[in-house]
Amino acid sequence: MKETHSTRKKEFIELLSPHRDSLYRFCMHVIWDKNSAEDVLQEAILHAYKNFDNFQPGTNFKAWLFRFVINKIFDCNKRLKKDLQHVIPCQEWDIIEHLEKEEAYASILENPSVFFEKVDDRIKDALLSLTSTERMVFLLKSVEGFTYKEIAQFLEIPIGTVMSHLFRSRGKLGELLAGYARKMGFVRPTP
Amino acid sequence: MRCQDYRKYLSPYLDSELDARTCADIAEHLSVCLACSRFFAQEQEVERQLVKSFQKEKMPEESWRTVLGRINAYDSPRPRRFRLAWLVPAVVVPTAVMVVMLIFLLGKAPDNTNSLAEALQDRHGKYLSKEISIGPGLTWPQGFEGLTVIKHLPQSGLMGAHEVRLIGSQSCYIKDIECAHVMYSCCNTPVSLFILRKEDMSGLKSAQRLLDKGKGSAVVNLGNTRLVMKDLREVVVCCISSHDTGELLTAFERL
Ligand SMILES: [Zn+2]
Ligand SMILES: [Zn+2]
Repeated sequence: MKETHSTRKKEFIELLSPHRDSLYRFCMHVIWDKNSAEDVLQEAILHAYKNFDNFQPGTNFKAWLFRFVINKIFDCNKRLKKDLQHVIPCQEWDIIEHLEKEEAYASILENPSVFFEKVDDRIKDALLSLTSTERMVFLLKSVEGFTYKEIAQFLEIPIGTVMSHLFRSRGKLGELLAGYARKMGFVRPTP
Repeated sequence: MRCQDYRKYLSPYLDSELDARTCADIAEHLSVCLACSRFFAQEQEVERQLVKSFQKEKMPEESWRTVLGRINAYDSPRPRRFRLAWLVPAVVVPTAVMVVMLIFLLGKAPDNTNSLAEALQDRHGKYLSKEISIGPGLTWPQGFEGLTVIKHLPQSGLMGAHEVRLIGSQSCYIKDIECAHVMYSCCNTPVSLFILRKEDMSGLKSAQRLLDKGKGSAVVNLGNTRLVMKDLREVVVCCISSHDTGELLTAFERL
């Protein structure tokens, strides 16, 4: 009995370890309040461990873990779940078209690495300007690399809703970057 | 299509979420249109840089130590064992009843219907004792994607006066057969719905016989709970609850 306990524990930690940074980042960026984020993270991981017997070997462990984290976040923020269902109609194309006309954004497109080096840590504040919903979807897709389908399952919303949250958050981030570029004088004069 | 039309697909294209056909169309356009290929590449680079800045953060050692500490502290024998023990009479009695009933019904030694029912009941018991962690979202085995209708059942209006809530779903193995376990609550009573592929059930001869005999449906009393099986051509749906699930199954048939 002791033996199996410690092998199971070892197995769990081995599977968990490669995802520790992802889990940490996700909690910190979605929740922002450092203490609550840490609590959610700790609780979610322990909950996952208690349910480790239900994990099917060979399936996606990272996705399995994120379910617990998202669940805990929902527990702490009841509104979030409601907000996720709410779709603000938006055409991705309108945003792209709008951004394309922005000189500042064009300058970023011309030289992304220089811009990001300059803007540095301020970029993290940009995320703050998104709603928790937009932040969550953006982080799950762009940063953690989950598929639309996986995100739809995590958040219990249709794939179309995932896409619309995602497009809106990307559009907003684009606008925010353009704002930084303008403030920093990063805009190149048009030839 | 004009350049604009291709650019509309920027996000799903970069996310690799397009169907093969559209993806190929775009790739082809990008190979001939310099302006678009530049635009896509630049957008991709901005996203890459953006993501990079969010990936810098690492879990501090202290947090990791806390994680390990809590996992280690949790090693004591599980309190759940107690609950399981408590469940034993609830499982054994109906199983015995069922075995006797099946012997009577089939006129010979019970084979796998009882073990199927037992396995289903066992899994239902885990739902009752909250041993199954139900995360957000629904999961089921590959190939069962069409089952999204399950989600709409509570709102379908097909349930009459019953108050149905979808609790969750998971894929699981019952007698080595992959199936979807959908957990509902109907009028505050837990209901387990199992969906098995018909083709996987060839080994379960007596379950099939029972279904044939009842012209596609069968009821097995399991003491406090009842197992109702329905043959829906490609799949067989098995429903366990102490509640009357007739309407639920009828609604399911119609969906
Ligand atoms: Zn073009
Ligand atoms: Zn009911």
